Amino acid sequence: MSLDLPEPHFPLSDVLYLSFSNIRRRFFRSVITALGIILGIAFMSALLTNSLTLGLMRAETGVEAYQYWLVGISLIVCFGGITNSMLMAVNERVKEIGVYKCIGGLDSHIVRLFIAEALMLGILGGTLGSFIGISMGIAINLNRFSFEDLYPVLMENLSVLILLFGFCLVISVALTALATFIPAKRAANLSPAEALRYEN
Amino acid sequence: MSLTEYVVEISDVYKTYMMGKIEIHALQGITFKIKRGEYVSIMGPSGSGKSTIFNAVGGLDIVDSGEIFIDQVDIAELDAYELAWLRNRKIGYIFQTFNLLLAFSAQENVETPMVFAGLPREERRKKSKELLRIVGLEHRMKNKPGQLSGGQQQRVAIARALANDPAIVLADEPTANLDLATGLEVIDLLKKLNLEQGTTIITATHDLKMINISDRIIWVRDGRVDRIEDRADVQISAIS
Repeated sequence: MSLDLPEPHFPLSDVLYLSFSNIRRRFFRSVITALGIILGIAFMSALLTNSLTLGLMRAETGVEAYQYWLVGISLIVCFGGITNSMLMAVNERVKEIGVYKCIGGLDSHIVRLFIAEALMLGILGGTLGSFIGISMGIAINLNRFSFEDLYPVLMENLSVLILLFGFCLVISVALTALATFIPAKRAANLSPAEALRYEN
Repeated sequence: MSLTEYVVEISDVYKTYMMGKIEIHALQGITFKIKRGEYVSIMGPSGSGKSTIFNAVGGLDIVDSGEIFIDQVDIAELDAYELAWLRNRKIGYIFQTFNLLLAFSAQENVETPMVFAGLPREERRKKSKELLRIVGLEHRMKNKPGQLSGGQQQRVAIARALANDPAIVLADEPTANLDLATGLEVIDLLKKLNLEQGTTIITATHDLKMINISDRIIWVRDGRVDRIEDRADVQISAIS
């Protein structure tokens, strides 16, 4: 039996409207989640910038082995931190997903809502985090090198720094989206009754 | 489509689920029909399968066997999109725990089903205002659920259930979390909607106050229909 229904539609403006309201209304929780992202990205980008700067100034000191370790660890911390924040953020809202399903939301609608929220947080967190991290990574090196030595080298390699910024932003967005997509999809696949019963 | 007499027809429905390692036979061959415009209460002690019936009729959960027709549509044959459409347009849900979206205001909560139905924003605004007026909350439209009393939250939930003019309103223990007076208000409101708008209302409840206003009562026991009574008969049996 086919009901011969119109095509489902959920315009982007409504997706953005609902997800933005959600972020705004849950402001405190959103700030905490964003802080998690900012922290992870800032830590990673600071250490990457530090290694990069040391590499560029290698005339005086080489890149030491422990630098690679630090970068490796920073990546792990960043991945773990962001994934954890987003998993928690979705997990505590499984009941809400159940409500969306009861009032006629399609799985894809719900996933889109959560992804839109995650992207907003990911872009915001990634931008702020990379900016803070890169600034700190440069600032640390002011201990080691004089500003006069450092400045021209950095200016010469500005494109590398911008590339680093972009890299961190992409990591942030990709991780937040992925760490939201997987649990949101899983929760949206539950039957509404199961999702409403869900206890975290 | 011509107006059918029966808006809900369920026959021989079985549902078993696992609670840890224990099998719970929640429904063991439930059969009943509900006419358009009726006010029916499903009554029985807790654990008798009322909520499972609620979930089955509402298309919120899958049953093991048996047939469920909503407005002549066999819900077992619907795909995910059609099922979502059914929940969106044909059925309005009211829950014991209200289940409002806590981040949204009363008005936005009532609007959400209309968002999924694809109504333009101005129309949503207008209709949600009208529905909140019907449930008597036009002065609390901008309040979030946390700023409303239990009875008010339940009235928002009722307004939300009516958002897309459903054929059926399903209510699972709508008064269980409310005090006596507020519970009566909610019951009165449901009855009013039933009489004035002709909405079919099905409640799963063990609130005996519901008996007075129900057209029929389906008594459930141990996952089976014990008996189905008209209101007149209930009163007689209560006296004798």
